[in-house]
Amino acid sequence: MFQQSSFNSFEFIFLFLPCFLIGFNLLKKSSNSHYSHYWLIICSLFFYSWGNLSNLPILLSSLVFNYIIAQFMGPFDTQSSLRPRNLSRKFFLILGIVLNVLFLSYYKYFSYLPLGISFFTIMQIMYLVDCYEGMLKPNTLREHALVVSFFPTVTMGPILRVNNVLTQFRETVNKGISPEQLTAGIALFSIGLFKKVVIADSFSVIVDIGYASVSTLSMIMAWVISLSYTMQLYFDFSGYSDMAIAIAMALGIKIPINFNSPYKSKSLVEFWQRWHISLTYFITTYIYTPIVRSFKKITFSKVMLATLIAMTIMGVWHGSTINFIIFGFLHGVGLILNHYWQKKIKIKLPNFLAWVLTIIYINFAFVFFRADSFIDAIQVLTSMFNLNLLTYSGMDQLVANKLTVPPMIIGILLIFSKRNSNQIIKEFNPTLLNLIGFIILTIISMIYLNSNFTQEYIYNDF
Amino acid sequence: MSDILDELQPIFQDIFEDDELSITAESNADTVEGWDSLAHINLIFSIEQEFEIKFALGELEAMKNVGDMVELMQIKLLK
Repeated sequence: MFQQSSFNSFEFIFLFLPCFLIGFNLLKKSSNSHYSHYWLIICSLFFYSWGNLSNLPILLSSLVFNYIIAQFMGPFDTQSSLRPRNLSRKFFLILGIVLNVLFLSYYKYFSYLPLGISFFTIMQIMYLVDCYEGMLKPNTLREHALVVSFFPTVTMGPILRVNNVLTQFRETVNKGISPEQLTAGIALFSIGLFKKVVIADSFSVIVDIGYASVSTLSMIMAWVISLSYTMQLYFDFSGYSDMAIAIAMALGIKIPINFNSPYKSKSLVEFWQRWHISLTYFITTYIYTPIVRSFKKITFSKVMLATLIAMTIMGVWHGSTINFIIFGFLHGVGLILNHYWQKKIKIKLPNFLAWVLTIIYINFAFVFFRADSFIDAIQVLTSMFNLNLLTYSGMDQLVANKLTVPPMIIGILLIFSKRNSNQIIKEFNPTLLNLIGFIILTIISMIYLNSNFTQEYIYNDF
Repeated sequence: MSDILDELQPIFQDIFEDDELSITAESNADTVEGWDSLAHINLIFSIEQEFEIKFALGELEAMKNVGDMVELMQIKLLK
């Protein structure tokens, strides 16, 4: 039954997680407090190789390679401005980045895709850059393994900043698990689980049917399936992110949020500040900024060019097919239009119109993201505007599986709800009413988890 | 702190094209009109050139307001 390293399985929730937590807490109280870290590394590697043991050597070699590169680079020394020393540091930085990119590209584009490789590779590129620029000292092997293999984030992020997480591990090494954090963590986990197995997987049913028969879509169904995928992707990935943040929270480690109600955005710029925030951070800070910096004089058009390049790279990071390149390119173009409008046209659109335009644009781009081929994507997009196809055919499929209808309605309502999961947990109080609420939420998730339409995570493929 | 702040004034006035602009340590993207991601990157690079310092990429996010910037600059200028 357990085929993938994932959070939404009975084995993970009722076996792996409790065993890990109990062991972790016991070892924290032992004479050598680092035992808890070794336990975490062992459990992380076990979790990572659960679905497919052959992935393990790939994670380990990446981890050891980057550890060694950082060691060769050595600590940043402000006193020594000796040229040979700086040159050798730069050499190892460039060598490290190039080999990481080649490593990722080989597996991503020419071989099968090992789990999490896109995430742990860019995380370690950030680590090397931060190391080079003196933001942190090179890690010991234990600490590097601890952060890179960290099971809540190893498969699909959020993409961590090594120094941020490591500082927290060092500070909490002697502290046991706090009941408050554990409770809040469990509550957030149950929200994330519900978003993934109840809402996202319900949307996936109609999405899969629709995208499997793109040539026969009615106009309405083309809109229904594309918008449903937009919903599915958000609940799938943000549900997963909630669970990852929740597990870390239970251990006393704060991970920055990855989603902040993105579909409330009234512009594309705002959308990227709210969607997959850890990836946006990587793209803006480690790709966009160096490109802009490389220009001698900064002008509006040069900055826009940098935006287009950075967003196209973002698309390619997701996959090598033409559809992902178009996805990134479309977002680059969208951001340029957005900035141009703000800077040069300066007409403020009414909020509602701005929101509708933003959602529609995002939805178009996600058609390329989901469709199996370029032809399929064009097929869906043309059906959306072909008035000859204005029929209700296919609508019966929407309600074919009754179990999927209520979650889809709840999902749409949640998009507009006042508070998202992060905000709920921030103000979380362990009251009896909350307890009952979260138990009901979990029971519903269990029922859906047991149903036949549970899906893999979308971002497992990236 | 105040010395650096004074030296920053003309840079801000230049970037935001506003001769009347007067910033404080608390000034941030919400209080200064036009302070978006483009202005931010312009600002960072202008400061780097003017003061002959270089910010690490990993430091850029931490600079949420002018006070944060000045604090970081103080450390860099001491070195």
